[in-house]
Amino acid sequence: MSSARVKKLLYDIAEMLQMPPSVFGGISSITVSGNREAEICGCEKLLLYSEECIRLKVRDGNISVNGSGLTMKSYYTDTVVIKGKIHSIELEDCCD
Amino acid sequence: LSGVADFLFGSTVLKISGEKCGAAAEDLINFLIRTGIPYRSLKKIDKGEITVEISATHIKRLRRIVDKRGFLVYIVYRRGLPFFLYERRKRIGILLGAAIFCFMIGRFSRTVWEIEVSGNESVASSEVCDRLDKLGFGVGSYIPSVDFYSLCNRYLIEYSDASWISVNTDGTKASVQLRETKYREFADTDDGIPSNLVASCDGQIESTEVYSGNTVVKYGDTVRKGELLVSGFNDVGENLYKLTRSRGRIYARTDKLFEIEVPFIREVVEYTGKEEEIKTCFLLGVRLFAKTPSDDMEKYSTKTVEKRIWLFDIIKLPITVVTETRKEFSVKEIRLTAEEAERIAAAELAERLSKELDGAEILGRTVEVYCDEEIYRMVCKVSCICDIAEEREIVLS
Repeated sequence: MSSARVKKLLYDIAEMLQMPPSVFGGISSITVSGNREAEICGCEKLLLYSEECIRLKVRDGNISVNGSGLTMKSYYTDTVVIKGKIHSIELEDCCD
Repeated sequence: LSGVADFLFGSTVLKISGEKCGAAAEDLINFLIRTGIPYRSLKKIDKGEITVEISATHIKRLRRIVDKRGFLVYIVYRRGLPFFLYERRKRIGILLGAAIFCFMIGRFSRTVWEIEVSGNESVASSEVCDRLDKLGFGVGSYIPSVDFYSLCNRYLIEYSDASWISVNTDGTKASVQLRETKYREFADTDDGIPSNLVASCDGQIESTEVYSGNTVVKYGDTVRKGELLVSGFNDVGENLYKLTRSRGRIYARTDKLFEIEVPFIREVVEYTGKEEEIKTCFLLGVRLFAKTPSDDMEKYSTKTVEKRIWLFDIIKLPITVVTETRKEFSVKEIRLTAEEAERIAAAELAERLSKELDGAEILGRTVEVYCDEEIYRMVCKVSCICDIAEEREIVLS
């Protein structure tokens, strides 16, 4: 079974059980508090780090956080907390 | 909490450089995330350089991992309690002051600062505090060393005017709750001490109010001082007697004599105007310092004022300043005029009459005055109806 089909299956199961999809492994989640903080779970790698843009590779694609004065703090290997003034969040190659 | 932990254990700001091995800043961050070491204040300085703050407990581990990868690590600065103390290790005063501060906080927070007494009616709060002080509990007592159960028991054994006592602490404040023993004037039950009621002075019986015992007088009887009025012997038949405590009031018409003497030559106190203030400071009941009084005053009166120190009018500190004001005086002899002596005698007589004839019905009075060179004498004969009963214990030989 391909990776995309596994993710689709996980989504379907989560929907059926009326549970958040992030509960199942392999799916990332983003929590945004106002425009000052964003918590991204399921982070695999940092691709770009600057005050204007932080780009991360997550399990199901890439996430770009754009803004000004962005800083990153992380206490766990797969959870990243980004602080600063967030203008936009872009998702690339996420599951359908 | 991580901020508190960093302060207590110390944290270090590091500069990590990957330029030597061609690593970008992002690679360094990814590497840092993979190590699982908690970090904060992450900043990208250049293409291949970052600064990061790491707890001092993780430094060794990070250095070991970083060295293997060929990154360069520089310490930018260190902060937190261990580094603060290390830098000042030769300044004994600061360390000693900090140790004393910690000791005082620990000790004083478990010491009684204030005692609050409630529920007392006839015994003053200061008296209750003095009694507790005699039993080893007062301002300055170390709370963990006090056995409150034993303290309350000892208080009840020692002082019969208390029927119940409870001592509780709330922080540094001790709350004493007291219930006093109340005696009924005429108890229904016999307390076991048999007694008679006898006449305290000569008189003619007007009325009787007897609660227990056998009345042996009636209206119109004339009695002499010491004569039996109410007997504690109850005849129960077959030559057997039950002894009881006699209680009651026997009202009789009687004459009372009051004699007031006022000497014409009196000693009066005259203040010289010389004053001295002696301030003593107490911390948790322990005297810290006091000004030594001068000995040049022969006779003086003292007035003591206790003042508690407050911090910003909010926190009551365990510091008391006792100010003793001494006023010097000399004793002078003066001769009273007849009018002055009469005024003093009249005031004294009025006081004695209100005190000794309280509740009596005054039928009439005569006042006679005798005067010689030295003394002014006022004799007052009062005819009244009053309670003449005096309780006297029955002693069986």
